[in-house]
Parts: sequence; structure tokens; C-alpha cells
Amino acid sequence: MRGRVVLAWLCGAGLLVAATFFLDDYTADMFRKLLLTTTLVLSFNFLFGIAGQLAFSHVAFYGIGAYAIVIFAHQLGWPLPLAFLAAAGCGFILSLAVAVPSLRLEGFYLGLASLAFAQLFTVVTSQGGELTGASEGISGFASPVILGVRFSGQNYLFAVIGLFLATLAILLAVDRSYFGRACRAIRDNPQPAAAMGINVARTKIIVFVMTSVLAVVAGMFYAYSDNYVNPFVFNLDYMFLLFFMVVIGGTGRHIGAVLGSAVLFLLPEILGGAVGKRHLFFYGLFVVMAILFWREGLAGIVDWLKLRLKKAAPEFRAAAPAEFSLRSSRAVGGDATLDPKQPILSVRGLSKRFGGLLAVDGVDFDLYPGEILGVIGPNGAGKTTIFNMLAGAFAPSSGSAKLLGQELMGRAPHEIAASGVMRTYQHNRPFAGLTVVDNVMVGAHCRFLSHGRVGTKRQRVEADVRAEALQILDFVGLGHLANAEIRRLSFGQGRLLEVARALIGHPRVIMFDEPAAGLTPGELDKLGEIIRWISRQGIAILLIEHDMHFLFPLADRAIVLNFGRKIADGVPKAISADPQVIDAYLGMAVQQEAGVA
Amino acid sequence: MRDFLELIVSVGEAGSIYSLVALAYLVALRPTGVFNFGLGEWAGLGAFVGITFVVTLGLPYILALFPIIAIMAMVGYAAERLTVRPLIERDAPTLTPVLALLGVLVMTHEAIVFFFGTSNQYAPSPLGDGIVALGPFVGATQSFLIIAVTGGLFLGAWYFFERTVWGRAFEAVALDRFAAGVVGINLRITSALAFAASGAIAGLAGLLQSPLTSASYLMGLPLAIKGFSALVVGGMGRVEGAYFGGILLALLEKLVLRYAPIPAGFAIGVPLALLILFLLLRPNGLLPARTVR
Amino acid sequence: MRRNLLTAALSVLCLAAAPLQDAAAQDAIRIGVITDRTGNAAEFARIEEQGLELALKEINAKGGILGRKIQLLYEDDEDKPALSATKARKLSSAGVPIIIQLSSSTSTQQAEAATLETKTPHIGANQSADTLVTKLDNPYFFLAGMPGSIQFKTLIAYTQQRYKTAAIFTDTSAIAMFIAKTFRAGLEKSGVKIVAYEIIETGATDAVPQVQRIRQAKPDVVIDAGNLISESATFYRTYRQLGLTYPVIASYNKSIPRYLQLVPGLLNGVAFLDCFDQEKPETKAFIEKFKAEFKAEPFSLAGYGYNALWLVKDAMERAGSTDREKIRAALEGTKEFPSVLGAKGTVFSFSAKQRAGFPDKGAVIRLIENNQHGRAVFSGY
Repeated sequence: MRGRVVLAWLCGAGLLVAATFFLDDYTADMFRKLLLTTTLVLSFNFLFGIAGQLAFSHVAFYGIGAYAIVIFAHQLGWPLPLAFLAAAGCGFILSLAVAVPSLRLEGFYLGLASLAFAQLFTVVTSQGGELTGASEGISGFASPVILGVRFSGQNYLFAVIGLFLATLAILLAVDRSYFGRACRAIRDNPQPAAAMGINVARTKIIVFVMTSVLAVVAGMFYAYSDNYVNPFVFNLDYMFLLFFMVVIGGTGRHIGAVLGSAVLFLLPEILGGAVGKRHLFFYGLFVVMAILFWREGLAGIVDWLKLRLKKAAPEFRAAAPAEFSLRSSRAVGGDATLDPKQPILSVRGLSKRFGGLLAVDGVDFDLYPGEILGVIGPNGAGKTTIFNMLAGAFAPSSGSAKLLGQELMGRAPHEIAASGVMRTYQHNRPFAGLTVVDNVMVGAHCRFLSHGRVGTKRQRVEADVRAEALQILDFVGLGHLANAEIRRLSFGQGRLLEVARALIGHPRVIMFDEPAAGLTPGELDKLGEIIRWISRQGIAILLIEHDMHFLFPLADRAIVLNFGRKIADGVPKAISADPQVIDAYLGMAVQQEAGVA
Repeated sequence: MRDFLELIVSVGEAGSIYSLVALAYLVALRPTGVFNFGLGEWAGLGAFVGITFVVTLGLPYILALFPIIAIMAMVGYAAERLTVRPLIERDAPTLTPVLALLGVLVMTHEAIVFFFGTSNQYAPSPLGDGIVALGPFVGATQSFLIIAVTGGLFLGAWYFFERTVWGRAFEAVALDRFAAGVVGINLRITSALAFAASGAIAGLAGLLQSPLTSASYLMGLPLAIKGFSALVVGGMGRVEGAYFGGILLALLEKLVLRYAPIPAGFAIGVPLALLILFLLLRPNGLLPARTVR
Repeated sequence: MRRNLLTAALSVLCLAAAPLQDAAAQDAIRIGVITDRTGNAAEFARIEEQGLELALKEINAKGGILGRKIQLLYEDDEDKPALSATKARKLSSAGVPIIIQLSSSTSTQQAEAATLETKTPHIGANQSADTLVTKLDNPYFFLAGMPGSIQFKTLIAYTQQRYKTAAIFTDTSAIAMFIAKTFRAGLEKSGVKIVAYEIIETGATDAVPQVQRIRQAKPDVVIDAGNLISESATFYRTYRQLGLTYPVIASYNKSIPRYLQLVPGLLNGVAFLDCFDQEKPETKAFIEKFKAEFKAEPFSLAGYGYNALWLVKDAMERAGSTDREKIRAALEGTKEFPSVLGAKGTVFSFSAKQRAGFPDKGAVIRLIENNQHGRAVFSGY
């Protein structure tokens, strides 16, 4: 398999190189500028299409690369390798300077800030005096000579081909890893992403810096395409063009980036005439059409071709029978060594005040390994608020929650996830842009962080996690939908996906937030079975539920909340007989039914 | 002293234009959550449409206003109906309509070049090209007109949003779209009206500016940037924020250009730097949004 | 794998497309023209093209060049420097013997990289940046525009040492910044103190702060180096509104008649540099022919286009062939070419050391009076 991939790359490279021998001067120029643009589009597609960051600074970084290499190597006269490193270093520092403060900015705010940065780049370069050549730019420097070879003409074209392939390879490798999944998860649903153990802030910064540095390097190559840099090449028009290329090509797809770039770059050349003159109008129109009617863009054509040639992975796979054992790889001895008489989670005095409202008021409880603890109470009693605090969504006003003696409160969601506490949500919150199995694999993010960051280790963990994800999906009954898109799932199937996603992280504690809501009776039975199985593995379970018929047979114990306070704590039978609980919440009928159960 | 008085008029006029564009952004943004970068091009379109009616067709200015505003409102409505609404009703992420509107931006720009060409056009001022003195303040009649019209429009907008039922409906949709729908506010009409108003206000900004600078196919982008700078500085929450932001931005701009001892080339970058600073440190602007429900 | 295949396939497709476009008649000589139809220089290029078309018609009516008709092969570089270089290569690959460029200085500079490499003769029809002939040692490039340095020589001579202090006004476009820089350096060298140096930002609604600073500085003269039409119009509005009356001398940008429509009457009294002397016989003839053809008065920009094509004819006839090297040498040997541009009595000349052919004493100063571009009142130095 690996051999075939290497062969494919070699063939591709070989074809591109071979093509260079058949091009006249003009087509060679078009080709190298096309490759440079495509390289830019690839990295922008990763930033915007895959990681979901709409930033307009990409072309400015391209310009920073071009100016930096020329200033270091020619204005200051440094040797080329040093100039290259200095220029890359500048790009790295500047992209950090943009990324870190922009973390808090979402959506179009980030677009505005990055647009302002891009404008600032133009101002600085045009007013930069002798150093930047001001508005006339810098010209008259020679193509670099590396190891005796002058990089102009065809040699330069080889180098640009290399740049393109290297950028593509890097982005593909990063994409097909836990990091790529994390980027997509953040793009689709940042809060659950954090809850699965993804450090959202750090990931966003890494992506921004990585793609911007790739743009900077591409810019360094650009400087030698005509041996001239000036501020006006790196303007907003070019940025819009990159953006159009990504959208029309197919947002988030590498093949889309290549196709979009090639088509939009070459179209005015091929068409000429009246259409060629006003081609931008049609690009704008195509973008609107693509967004409204044809999200897959040009990449959709490739998918269609693949389907026709039966090369695509089938959407529905044959499910394996569900016999599954959860191997726990948690450090600290694994679940087997946990003393079932010692609480795994101890909550003391947990409180939360929202302005004048005391949502949670001094709640205490313990959770033991392998136990199912129900959390019940009327709406507004504070159940989900407690969950949110335990998951790290926000800090409590006071109180503590200790996991095996380690304080959880005040820590970020991804840190809590890394400690072994997973959760599901009241409303399904999948990552819409990932397939079902990829959704599940996001839940294993922490395992990659601890064992499988780089190299062959990562590939092994990737394979292991994928196999396990498929097993879990088989187990919950979603196995046949592993390669399907999220929109294929019914509501009930979405609930099961949440469970699967929480499970794969080998957690110690899982918090289920109303998992039964909206399920059919058949689905309810299945869910009950799954939850029972989970507790048998030694995983502690917190379970918010309104459906008493579902909860009481399942839970070992339950706590009852009312107006933020715990008013009862015990086995279901005792609780259903508690007059306070009946008064606040249950009513008489359930007491009778609980007596039967 | 004379300088200062002249500067006040200049700040008032420039700030009014910026605040009009900011208001255009705001009026569409609040009920729909969609940020329309293409407003600058709509301002340019307003200027050229104005010239068509007043110069080419020779209508008196007062009469010409009706078709001009109507056309710009139609443009806004068309953009909403065709690109924004289908996406909102599909529950697309809020960024998606923004991207579609970038496509509309480019289409509008190309349409302007196609229909009106690349030559700058003279735009007459309804009050003539003269200079007038209002008390100690001296300035072009058009400058005073701009200040007056903008002030009046903002007063009207403030009144609309704060005191009328319809205005409250807009606010309600801005605060909680779902809830507003539940209590019976017609979301479709609100969105359509918001964008139509946005188009009309942007067109008005271009129409008011063009007698000072002439109408040009390139006038859109700088206005778009100034407009959203004003909005960010003043606060995206309410109408007063747009006005305040526009005036403040113009004030800073003009004062720096006039008095700051830095090279002219860098003085030009100051508004940009201010925008970046605000985005990083205080993205909600100076005036907080109303949160009382 | 497929992605790379597609990219390669598309580039080969591009190669195939190129010859398809060259299905024109083989007999005619095709002169390459890089123009801007869609970008920031579109308005200027449009008028230069008119001059070009007029020259084309005339030359063909007289039998063309070397007995063959000529055609103009236009490429739109959208005033994008990177695209300009590509278009230059495209024209070169299409086999044109020479390229005329109508777009901005920065686009021309980048295109020079291409014409140097492909050894294609290249005329910059109208650009004012001296750097076009100094930044890059390109023996194939010839500047036919009126360089900023020559504009300055006439400007300083015109002032006749009357002025001790000057204020400079400009905008942020590349050529405006270049002219301002050139004028500033030259003025300071001549002992004139620059008391104000003001820049108007793109899209400004007025120039009050800048004009106030000029007023405060009390210069003897105001030098307008501005290039962008909206911003220049805005400047003059504010200038008059604030009641300034200092003498104004402007670069050749103010030879564009459109200003007289945009800010009618506000430019009265402004002196501007121009390459167009209506007293020159060649210019008079050109004005008549242009009026007959286009029913409008020509001005500098049209003259640039007209001049460039006639320069080409002259050089190619002397070269006796469409061979690029011969044309280059012939262009370089252009002596005393009677151009429609330049003051009366001046001629165009190129040489190996002088790649800008505009006559050293060819700039004129004209006055705007009664909202019209008046006759030349001064020329040369």
C-alpha cells in the first residue's frame, strides 16, 4: 500500500517535470505562477476550509516572504541559507503576533482583523523607504545560485514544482492525522471539540502559524519569478481570488483547491474576449452559486467520477457482530485496580451564581467506580449547570470536585477530558464535516496526545484507534454507517454516536446529559444495555435523566436536585418514597411504579 | 482657532459618511447576524445611480431621491432574498452568508464598471458647490448637508429602534431570533427590510459623498473599510455606536493628520492601527449593546 | 496522484490553447500591446489606446511597415504586475517583434523582467518613473513617457529661483509617491526648503488637515504630485474652500481634461507640466487628425499612444526587418525623431546610455485658465 502511494507521488512529480520540457516561455511562466498560486490556495484551504478560520492575511504573509528573502539576501547581502532562515523566522514571529491576540476573535471579527493587518502590510511596504524600495519596489537582483546551479528558467520551475509537491505532502500528512480531525472538529463545533480533549486555542494557533509560514515560504519562491517585489501584487484582489478558488473548488478539499486554482487561474487566459474581460463578475456569481447550490464545488465532479469508476469507499460497510471488550490503557493502574469503595469523583460544596441567580447551591455527592448515579430534578434545578462545571465549560463560584484526589475545578475542558472525564450533550453535537467513524475517533484525541504524536508510533495508534472505533460503532449498532456523513444519521443514531464518542477515550467517568430524550422504545432498550455494559467495565457514570421509567431500573443510586440544592441521595426505591422528592418532582405515580421495579 | 473650527466641520462631514456606512452594516447585521463587506460597492452604486437621475435624466434632486433610494433598497432586498435568506433558512453557519456576499461584492463592482465605466463622474450638490458659514463654522455647503442629513437619519433611526414597535421587533430578532419568531415577529420581513434599509443607507452615503470627491468605480473599498472601522470602534450593539464610532474615527484621523509630528505616510496608517487595537482589546466597541430583554 | 495528473493535464491544455489563439493572418505584422482594461489604470490606458488606434489607421493607410499591414495584439494585464510579466511573455511567445506597454510603472517594471529574459524590444509608452530605466539593466526597454526627472528640470527652471519654500502634495499611488520624491529631492538640492509634505489617503472625503498644514507652513509655491483622480479632485476642492491662493504647479497628471469637469473652475491658475505643446507642428497635425477621428480634443495620454506606435514604425523601417535584435538596435539608434510629444523644436532620441527618449528640454508648462487647458507658457529649461 505504501509502495503504491510512493509510486503515485513519483509519477505525479515525474509528469509535472516532464511537462516543463514542452512549454514555451509563456506557458512556462503561466505554469509556475499557477503552481505558486495553487500552493497558496492549498495552505489557505487548510486554514479556512479545514480549520474554519476566515483570515484575509494569507496574501500578506506571501508578501512578507517575498520581501523578507529579498531584503535579507539582497538588500542586506546575507548568504542565501541564512536569509531563508531569517525570512522564515520573520514569518513565524509575525504569524504568532497575529494569531495569539486573534484567538478571541471569531467569524468575521477575525476576517476584519486580518484584513486590517493585510492593509497595514501595504502601508508599511510602500512607506518603507530604501529598505523596502517604497512604492516602486525592489528590482534588479539576480536569481539565486545554489550549489552551483542557477535557479532561473527551467531550474526555477523544478524548484516551484518541488515547493508545490512538498506543500501538498505536508498538508495531506497533517490532515490525515488526529490533528486534521481536531481542526475539523474545532471548525464544526468548538465546544464539544474542547470537551473531547482538544486544546482549541493551541490548535488554532498552530494551524494559523503553519499555514502562514507555508505562505511565507511560497512568497520566497515568488520573489524570483520575475525578480521584482512591489507592494501592489499582494493586495485584497488577490486575496479574494484565493478565497474564490477555495470555494468554487470545494471548501476543505485539497483536490478542490488544486482544481479551483487551475480553473480560475486559466479561465481568463483561455476564454479571452468579452467574458475574459469581465471574468471577475462570473467568479463572484460562481461563488454565490457554489455556496447556495453546490457546496462540494469542483471536487464534487471528482467524487462523481470516482463513484462512477467505483473507486470510492462504500458509504455503507458490512457491520461485524458486536462482541467487544474495552481494553483500558489508562495509566495509574487501570480500572481494575480502583477500589470500588473509594469514590472516584468527590464533589463538595459546588455552587454557581449567575448574577443574582444562585443556580447551584452547595451540592455534595460522591461517585464510585462502576456505579450509575442518576441526577434528577425539575427543569432549572441546576443539573446541566453541574455537568457544565464538571466538564470545565465554566468555573464554579465556589466548591470543589476531585477526581481521585486531583482538583478538576478551574481547569480547562480539554484538561478535564485528558484526566478521563467525558460527556455527552443534551442536544446532539456531532462534527458535521467528519464521517461517523472520524467523529468517534475525535473522542480518542487524548490518546494520540499521550502516545501517538509523531512517526510510526502515530500510525500504529491511528490504526488501533480506527479499529477500536469501528468495533465500538458495531457495538452500539452504527457499524454499517461508519463511513457515512453525519446528516445520514437519525436523531436516535446521533445519540448513540455521542455515546460512542465518549467511550473511545477510555474514560474513567462518563457524564450523560439526558441521553434518552427523543428515543424510541427500541432505542431506549439498546441504550440501557449499553450503559449497563459500560458500568460493568468499571467506568463511573453520571446520568441526568427526566425519564424515570428509563432511569430507575438502570441507576444504582440517584441524587435529586431542586432549586440548585440536593434534596435527596440514595437508591431509587428510597428516593421515590421520599416525600420531599415527591413534592418537588416525582408525584405519586412513579412511587408506585418504582415499588414494582 | 480657525483651523480647529474648520476641522470640526471636516470631522463632522467625514465622520457622518463613515457612520452612515457603519449604520448600513449595523442595520443588516443585527437581525440577521450577517456582515456584508460589499456595502462599499453599494455606496458607489448609489453615487452613480444618483448621477444617472440628476445629471443624465435631469431630475430635480428632491424628486430624484425617491427612485435612487428605491433602487438601492431593491438592491439590498435582492441580495437578502437571493443569497442570505436561503442560507439562513437552511440553518447554515453564520459565516456562510458572509462568504456569499463577498461574491455579491465582486459582482456589484464589475457591474458598476460595466454600466458606468472607469471614468470619474461629476456629482452635483443639491445646494450648489459653494462655501457657507454657519456661525463660526465655515465649510462647503455639501459638508453641512451631509452633517444635517446624517444627524437627522440617525435621530430617526434611534427613534425607530428605541420607541416604535417595529424597531423593537428588530431588536428582538437581533437578541434572539428563535424567540422572536415564536412570539410572532415575521422573520422574513424583518430580514428583508433590514437589508433593504442597509442598501438604501449605503447608497445614501455614496450619494452624499460623491459631490465632494466625484464618483469613481474605485470608491467602494475605502468606504467599506472606514465603515467597519467606525462600527468596531463605536460598538456593534446599537445605533448610537455607529454614529459615535464614525465621529471618533474621523476625529482621530483628522487630528493625527493635522497635528501629529509623524511622517505623512504613517499618519495614514493610524486608523488601521486603531482598528486592529480595538479588535484585539475591545471588539465590542466603546458603547455596549443593550442586553435588557 | 490524480491531483498531479490534473494539474499537468491542465497545463498541457494551456499549451494547446495558446496556438489556437494565433490563428490570425500570417502576413500582417502583429505589434504586442499590454494595456489595462479592468484595473486601476484602466481610465488612463483607454485614452492611450485611442491614440494608438489612430496611429494604426494612419500607418496602415500609408502602406503599413515594411510593406506589410500592422495589427495590434492586445493583452490586458489588469494593472497587476505579476500578470503583466506573464502577458509580456505571452506576447513574446506569440512572436511579436516589439511590445508597447500602456499600464502603470510598477506593472511595466515587472514586465521588464520578462522582456529582458525573452530579449523582446519593449516600449513604455507613458510611464513617468525614471526607475524603469535605472532599476534594471534592460537593453531592450525604452521609455517614451515623460520621466519625473525631466518634468522636474522644467519645473525648477520655470520657478526661476522665485521660490524659497515649497509645499508638496501627493497621494499614495506608486507614481505619485515617485514624482513627489523626485521633486522633493530636486527642490532641496536647488536650495528650496520643503516646508510641508502632505499625503492624502485613498478615499478621503476632504483634505482639510493636509491643506491646513500647507496653509500654516506658508510656502511660496505648492507642488501637486498627485495622480489619483478622485483624490486630486478632493484636494482642489478643499484647497479652494479653505481659501488658499498660493501658486500651484502640478505634474503632468493635471493635463487630464476630466478634472475640468469634476472640479470646474477650481483649477484656474494652476500651472502644470505637460508633454504636449500645441504650437509644435507635429502636435497641431495630430490634434486635427484626432478631432476628425474621435470628435474630441486629444491631450497628453492620447499623444503617448500615438507616439509609441510611430516610434515603432520608425525603428522597424530603419531596422529593415522584424528581427528583434535589429529592431532593438534601431530603436537605440533613434535620433531626432519628430514626435507629437515634447516642446516645439524638441525631438526624441535614444542611445545605449539613454533609454528614456523624451527630449531633455521637452517638457512644457501650461496654465489652466477659464477652466481650460491653455497654451504652453514655458518649455525646456
